Amino acid sequence: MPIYDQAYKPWEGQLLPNPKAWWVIAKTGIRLMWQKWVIVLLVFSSFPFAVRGVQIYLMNRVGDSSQLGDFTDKLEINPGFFEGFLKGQTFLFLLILAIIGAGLIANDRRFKALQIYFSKPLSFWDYVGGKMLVLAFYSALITVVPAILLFIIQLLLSGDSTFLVDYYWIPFSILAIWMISVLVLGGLILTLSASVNNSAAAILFFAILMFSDIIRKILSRIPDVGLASIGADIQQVTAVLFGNPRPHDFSPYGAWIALLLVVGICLLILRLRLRPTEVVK
Amino acid sequence: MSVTLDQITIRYGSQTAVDQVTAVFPEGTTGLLGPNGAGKSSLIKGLLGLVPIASGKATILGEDVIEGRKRIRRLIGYMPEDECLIPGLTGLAMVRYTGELSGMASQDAMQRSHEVLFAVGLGEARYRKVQTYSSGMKQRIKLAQAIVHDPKLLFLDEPTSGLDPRGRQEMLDLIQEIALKGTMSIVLATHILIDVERTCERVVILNQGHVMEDAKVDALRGELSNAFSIRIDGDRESFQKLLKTKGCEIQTEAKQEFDVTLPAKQSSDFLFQLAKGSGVTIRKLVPAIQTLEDVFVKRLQEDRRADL
Repeated sequence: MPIYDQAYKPWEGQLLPNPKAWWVIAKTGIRLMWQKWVIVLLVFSSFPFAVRGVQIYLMNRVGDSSQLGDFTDKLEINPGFFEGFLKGQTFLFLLILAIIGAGLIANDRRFKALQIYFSKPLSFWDYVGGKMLVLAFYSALITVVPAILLFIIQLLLSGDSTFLVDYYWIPFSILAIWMISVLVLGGLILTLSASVNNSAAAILFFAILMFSDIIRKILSRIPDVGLASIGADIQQVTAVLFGNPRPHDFSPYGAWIALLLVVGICLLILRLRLRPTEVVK
Repeated sequence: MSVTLDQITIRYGSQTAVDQVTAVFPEGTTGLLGPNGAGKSSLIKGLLGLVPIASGKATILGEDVIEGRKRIRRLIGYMPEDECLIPGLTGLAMVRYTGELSGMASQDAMQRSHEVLFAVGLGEARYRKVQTYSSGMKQRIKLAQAIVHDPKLLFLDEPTSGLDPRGRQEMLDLIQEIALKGTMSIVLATHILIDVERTCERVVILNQGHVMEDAKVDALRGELSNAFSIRIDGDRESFQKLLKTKGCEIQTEAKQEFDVTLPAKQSSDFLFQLAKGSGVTIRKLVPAIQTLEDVFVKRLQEDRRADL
């Protein structure tokens, strides 16, 4: 009898009755992407947070607001403050989506890993949902998490419940904006990742966003042409969710529909592209 | 039964890869044998739901492959033919990951991955990134991810492809070892006859999307034991004519020898009687079909003749 038998041994354990494949994909993806450059990017993205934190401190701790002069209105902590913070994070948000998202499916395709994935008990939704959660996690670290922290700091420093009573809905708006952005832009980068290679996906991602915005600007005289810009649609919806003046003249309902349409098209393309077997004609 | 196929057809556009295949893979080890393009991989992929089945019905472990797809995938393991890897992961992380995807708890998957990686001979390399593995190691990691959850049925698609002779030998030993444990049925798709001969109890021979043969490996060899390779002294042409008129089939012909298949239930005595009657002396008489390769070649020739 050997002390330790390294030959194949049958497994006597039990499989989980309801395994959550999407969660397995998400946590492995998050672990894989936790690299130095992501940490650097996250540190970099914390500077605006620090500045906004100082702003909150000043507004709550400087006893005489007249000392701040004409800046008082601009520094006021209101829904516009949070919308402004999220707007300021847009570039880093897009950067992190592009860099992380571009390889999420493209690398699986390159290494033919889809055959392995789809021979396991997981569905299309598990796979796409898992990949989307990776994007949601990293994008949350530069948007939702600092924004909610700022809200909490404001609550703690304000000293009374007035701010909470007036603006209790702000965290929900922040969460909603984040979810919409991840669904739309995350869907877009995953679709590109499923269609072209890693670097082409990242380039195309920025190209589509910039091109659609350029069209909006060139054809600004034509009514509702702004709907063609994904960025403008998200801005419009963000303004509605924060109760702020709308930055564009097209209908916010139109923006909702346009964003839904983008998500729908992305899912359709993903469904077609996520084939475990490439058919060589 | 592990797998039942009833009139299964798989198409890629206008190209038919598998054409109305009906077969049964019982428990144990079954070889799916055929030349390149015979439809072996397509059939396996169809059963796994990786490519759509155009028509027909198939069951795996009693479950319909379309309705019970997710349940079936918990019970099977699949080692693809292609060089498939999950990039960025170490060997250990990849096997653990696929174990968890198969439905194992995280701790179980971790513990089991170590065991399986040692079993497939990757114990020392388990902390290396899978992209850095050699071809042989990649084959082994594909096997490890397929067996980590100890499936009831294992599909192996060309498991020895790209391996050097020693690696091939080790892979076949491993497959035999797994088969001998008796907890897992195996379907081995390959174009290498010796691999099937060595590891499988049963063989299904596919060619151009059709089943050419479906039998036990031993029976297949035995069934054709009434084929002989003979050498004679005397009038060869008239003797061959005589054999044909008595229902014998003449196959391959060499300069001095030719192969002849006797009618059913006839033994070599029949040949001696005919030889005696026609004044011919048999100098050599040996069984012509000795390996599965001979069966395979013979079936392919028959198939080609039928096509013509």
